[in-house]
Amino acid sequence: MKEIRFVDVGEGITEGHLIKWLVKDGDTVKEDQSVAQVETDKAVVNVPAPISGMIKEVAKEDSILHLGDVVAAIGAADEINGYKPGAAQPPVGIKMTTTAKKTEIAPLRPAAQKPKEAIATPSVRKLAHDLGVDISRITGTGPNGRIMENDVRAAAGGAVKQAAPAQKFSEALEEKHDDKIERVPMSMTRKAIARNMEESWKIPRATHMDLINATELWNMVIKEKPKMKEKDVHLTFLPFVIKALVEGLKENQHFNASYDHETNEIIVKKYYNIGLAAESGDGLKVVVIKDAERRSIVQIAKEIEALHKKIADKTITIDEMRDTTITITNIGSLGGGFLAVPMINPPDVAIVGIMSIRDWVFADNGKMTVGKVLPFTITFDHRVVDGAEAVKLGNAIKGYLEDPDFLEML
Amino acid sequence: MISKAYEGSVDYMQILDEKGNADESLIPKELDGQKIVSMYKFMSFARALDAKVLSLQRQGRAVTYAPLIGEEATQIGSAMAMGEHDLFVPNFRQHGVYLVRGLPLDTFMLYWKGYEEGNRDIAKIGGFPYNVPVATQMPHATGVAFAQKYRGTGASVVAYVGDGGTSEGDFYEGINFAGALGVPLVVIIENNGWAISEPRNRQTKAQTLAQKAIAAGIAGIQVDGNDVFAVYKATRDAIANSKNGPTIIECVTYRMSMHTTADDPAKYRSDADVEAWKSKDPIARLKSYLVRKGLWNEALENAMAADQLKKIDEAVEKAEAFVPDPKNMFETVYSYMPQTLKEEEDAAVAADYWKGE
Amino acid sequence: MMMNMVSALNSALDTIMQENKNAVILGEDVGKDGGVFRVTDGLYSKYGERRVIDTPLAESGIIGTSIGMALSGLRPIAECQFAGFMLLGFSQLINHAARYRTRTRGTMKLPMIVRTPVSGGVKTLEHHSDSPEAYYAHIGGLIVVEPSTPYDAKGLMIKAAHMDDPVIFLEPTKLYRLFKQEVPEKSYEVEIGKAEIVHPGDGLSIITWGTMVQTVKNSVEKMGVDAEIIDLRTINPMDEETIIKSVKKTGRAMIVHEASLSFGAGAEVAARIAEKAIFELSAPVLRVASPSLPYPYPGYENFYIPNEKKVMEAIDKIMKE
Repeated sequence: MKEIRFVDVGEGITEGHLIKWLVKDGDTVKEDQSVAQVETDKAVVNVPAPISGMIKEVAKEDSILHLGDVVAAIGAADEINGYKPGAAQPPVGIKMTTTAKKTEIAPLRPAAQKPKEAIATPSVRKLAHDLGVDISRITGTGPNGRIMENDVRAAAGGAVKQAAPAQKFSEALEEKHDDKIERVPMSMTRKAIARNMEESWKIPRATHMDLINATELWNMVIKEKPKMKEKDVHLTFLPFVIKALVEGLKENQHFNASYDHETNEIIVKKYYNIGLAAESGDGLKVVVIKDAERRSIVQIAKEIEALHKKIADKTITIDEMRDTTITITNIGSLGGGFLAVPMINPPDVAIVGIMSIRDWVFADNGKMTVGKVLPFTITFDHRVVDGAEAVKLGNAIKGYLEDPDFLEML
Repeated sequence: MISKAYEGSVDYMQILDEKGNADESLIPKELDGQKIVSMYKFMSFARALDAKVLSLQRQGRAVTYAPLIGEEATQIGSAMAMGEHDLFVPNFRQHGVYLVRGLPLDTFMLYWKGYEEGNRDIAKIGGFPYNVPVATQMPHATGVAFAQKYRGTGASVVAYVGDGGTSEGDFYEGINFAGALGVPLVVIIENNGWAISEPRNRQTKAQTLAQKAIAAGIAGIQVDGNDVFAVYKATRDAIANSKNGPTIIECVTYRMSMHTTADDPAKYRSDADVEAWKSKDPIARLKSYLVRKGLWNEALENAMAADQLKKIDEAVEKAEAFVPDPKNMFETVYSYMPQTLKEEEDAAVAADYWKGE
Repeated sequence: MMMNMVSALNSALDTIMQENKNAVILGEDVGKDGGVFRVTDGLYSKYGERRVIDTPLAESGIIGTSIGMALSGLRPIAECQFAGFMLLGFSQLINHAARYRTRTRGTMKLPMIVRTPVSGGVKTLEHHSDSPEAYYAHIGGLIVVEPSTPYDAKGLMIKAAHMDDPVIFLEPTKLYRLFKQEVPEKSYEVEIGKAEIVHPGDGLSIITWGTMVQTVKNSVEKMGVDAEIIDLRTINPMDEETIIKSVKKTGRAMIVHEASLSFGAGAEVAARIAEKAIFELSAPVLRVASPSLPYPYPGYENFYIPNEKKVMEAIDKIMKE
């Protein structure tokens, strides 16, 4: 026996009107024979018998049928005689399993205790959740009362201490000194420097130190400076140091290089891009005098000025700050110090530190003369070059800067 | 001076008239008694199958269905004219074409039960799946035909479109490309008089649909679409000529039933309209031809009907035993499984909320 | 060899045509004219009209015919002259190309590529500057690729030609000739479905593609900000893994695209970040895109397309959060 139910006979039909029976109650009908006519929103349709057999009409003529309603039953005579129509069933295809588990959804908290709205980023909310802190009870110290990471950690208080056996030094300090501690986020530049310096620290390095008699150089710059100023060029000692360094590097090429530790090769560079460490508002930046060997002192002086201006204006591009072959840090320009050992700027092999030029008493064959001295250091990657080579490079720089002929040529 | 820039005309062909009398001189020689009986059996089978799917839909056991009743000669005649290696591109009503080309019945039923698995074996019979967006299959057919020419397979392609479909841009784009590229394509316009509620004369002012071929510079003919001989001959001739370019065959037939099971023709056409076409029925006229020739009788008719119903019932049973697996839909979209889609699939497979009953 | 994107694409198509005898190129003006942007230049004289086919002017016909070709053993590479015109073939792509494989349960495949120039910034006529990636990505079943460099353009095109999927290949007109790059003359693939980190960083993740990759790179370099730039390259299926990994690291996410803001592909990226990395976020996700309106006539395009200033202001905003 089968029940004939009202199903979706159109596209999205939910109810129909049984217009008339096409067979009589108790008639014997064939499979697929139409037994009733039903009108829906879309059409008048014939309802066919799913199997052959005797028909028992259930729905009344001129009645409304809903999806799943039994229209009739069909089957063998004895089955049909004992048939009692059951309840309507949901339509075929969208019937839910009766065994499906029901999920009880409890209200999160009683409505009366609705907390104030907390303003916090998801990462801070997660931290609060992880630390078991009710974020709605925290007063935020950030902008617009926003709850910050620190607020959550503070609210977590002692619970955190117990949860974390190895207390971070920063937390210990905060606990002890409370509001005398301030967490200052590092700028992007600062972070980049930190990462670069960690990289630099891996380099096994040594430093060579020496003094240059800069008396001739001094006199020359003093003499040229006003003339240059007329041409709008700000002349300093630095372009001369750069030129002398380039000449020195040509004779000591392994300083103008990088170390490839994977292949154990020295990458020797036949171009001279001199990095200059420069202080900017938010940390140290390196600007690069590209192809310094092809530039005159005046050109270099102009270039240095232009680059510093770009740093101040924040218009410097990444390209103008990378691809060094060696770096000079002009500690003298900062106004203090006697000798300093700077960190190498990877992937360079060496960094040259120059100090302020100052008065100095030179002892020469038992005679004392007063002149100008320029102390300098060369810090180098000891995997690539040795002390003797550093002395050689130092002497070359020294030689050029102390040689009046060389200076005249520039 | 004014001269004729173009002169053209469209022929009409009928071989078997409404009473079952044939112009024997036009019946192709290969259509012997056995083959004509086979045509008759396929037409009857198509009608029986049609009635069954309609009944199943009314019982909630099949999806929305587009009946073919009245259009058997157009479908069977054209399909039987195809060679084994010829290909066909249907719209959504060519159930008879699938039957002739040998699509397993349970596969056919699987499609009308709402499972794409019913399309899985279509390629094996030289065909393509149904194309529901009207006339969008036309450019495909042109591309398929281009590929036959390019690869030198020698196969022709038969595409089907309705009278409403000839108003679509894709219809014109398809035939125009076919003409311009010179591909072996035969287009059957199954003109059943209706595009849902719109009669043929609402679609175009053109006197025939076949004359649309003229605009594309290709061959065109109109035939009696209820005359299986005429449809067969026109298709066979067009296929034979297809190396010289495409042909459009307009088969004038009539949709005796609804557009689909979601439609009620009583809203827009009278019983008298339909009644007028009953006397032109394609199966009745072929039957009287066969009976007169002594090739058919009631005993054969009853045996055939019983055999066909048995086959249909077996196919329904097999199709209803099919259990869908959500993996089938996820894993056949791309040539590889993207990680994001895999996550969606895993969730669907693990969940039970999609399981009906 | 140094190539711009046009010559890289031309080299890719040449490679594909050489590798596969069943590959054909079709579209309007792709033959003797070599395409209106000259991407198919020289291929007609090399491969003949049998394989480089000038078609009638009808996009649905071009794409629909390609579908038929692909179903029958050919590998069509169709060109639609501009993204706006390609919409006439939208039905073919959505109704058929996207679903053919799955509706035949993998027994029929569509190894086809539909190429079209996209995005603006080159003072074209109306309807020539749309950024349509989201519409094609939405339906599922279409692979949507958009390179931003000559190298990627060639490698992605060759990869697309080695796959059995319908691939929508979007070519930013602005990048066609903007810069040259070393591109191998030989055949090589760039993986589809994989984003590329074009600039590593720890402070901010910027997810972008197409024309905006250059804009974002320039902005980040000018600001010296510690941002990780991800060039999505394949819009669908999206490389969620790379995005989520980056955002979890940086804690900040910004999406930059030229297509208009509302319902753009950026919304998809943002939603995925919200689903998988929200607890790692220190700031709300920020989208930078063109305004939510149709692409304007070029007199207004400077107001429309996101520029470096707009991107830099957004970076500044998100970094202050």
